[in-house]
Amino acid sequence: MGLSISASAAILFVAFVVCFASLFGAVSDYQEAAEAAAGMERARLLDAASTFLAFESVDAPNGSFVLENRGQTILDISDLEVLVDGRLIPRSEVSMSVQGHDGSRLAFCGDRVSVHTGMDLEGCRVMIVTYTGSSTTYVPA
Amino acid sequence: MADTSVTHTMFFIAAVIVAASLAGVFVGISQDMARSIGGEADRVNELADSEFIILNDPAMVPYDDGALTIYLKNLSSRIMGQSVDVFLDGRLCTNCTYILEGGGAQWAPGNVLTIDVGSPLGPGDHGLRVVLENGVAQELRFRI
Repeated sequence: MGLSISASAAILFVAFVVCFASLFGAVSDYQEAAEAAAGMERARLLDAASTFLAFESVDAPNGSFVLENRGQTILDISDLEVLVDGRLIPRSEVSMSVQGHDGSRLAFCGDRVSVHTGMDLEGCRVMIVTYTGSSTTYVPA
Repeated sequence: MADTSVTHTMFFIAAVIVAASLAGVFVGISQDMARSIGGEADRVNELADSEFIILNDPAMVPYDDGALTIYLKNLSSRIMGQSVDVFLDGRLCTNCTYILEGGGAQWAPGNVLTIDVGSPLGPGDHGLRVVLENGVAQELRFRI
């Protein structure tokens, strides 16, 4: 009788250990995933909050304008999207460069970005959207 | 003596069978729970990495010949499918044309997905809701 109880207890103990191990692993993975997701969300919000791009000057007849990075994030100018009167201008039709740093694609805080669209922007509304989702708009007077 | 021995053996076998059955049930249930928790962790990861934005200028959304043009940008680090549902003023739009930047069938990170939505719209304020296949959504209120 005693042996039966011992054998049953041993089998059930092993089963509980296996159950605990698999559940503990899964819950631990879930916690890591949730923490990583929350971290990504926080980083995104922080990036968006510290991104600020402003129009410094606009040469509408020549289709050019200068933007200044007044935020704390480093902007990759390849990721900037330009909308003229609500229409997205393909990247191949827009040339951008960081003033004073030819060949660089990164605009640091305080850097100016020259943008040339090759189209007449007279009377056009121009909107720039950054990779963080924040935007700035030039509204003609 | 022999009877007692047989009885004990039968008790032993019965106890082991019952314990093994219970152990099997417990292990099976815990494996199912672990799988579903793992699936939920994958879903949380996918949701967190399904970021996109509507690029449109809300004050000037292109609307020509009954077709509204929407620009969506993939901000996530993964390739997303282009099965995107568009709701205009709360109604699901079925007449949509999807154009991916650079062609192809997959929406790569950093790329723009252009959607032409064929829908008659009157002048005034409108609401647009774009929903990905995993439920991540973005909204835009605009004026025509």
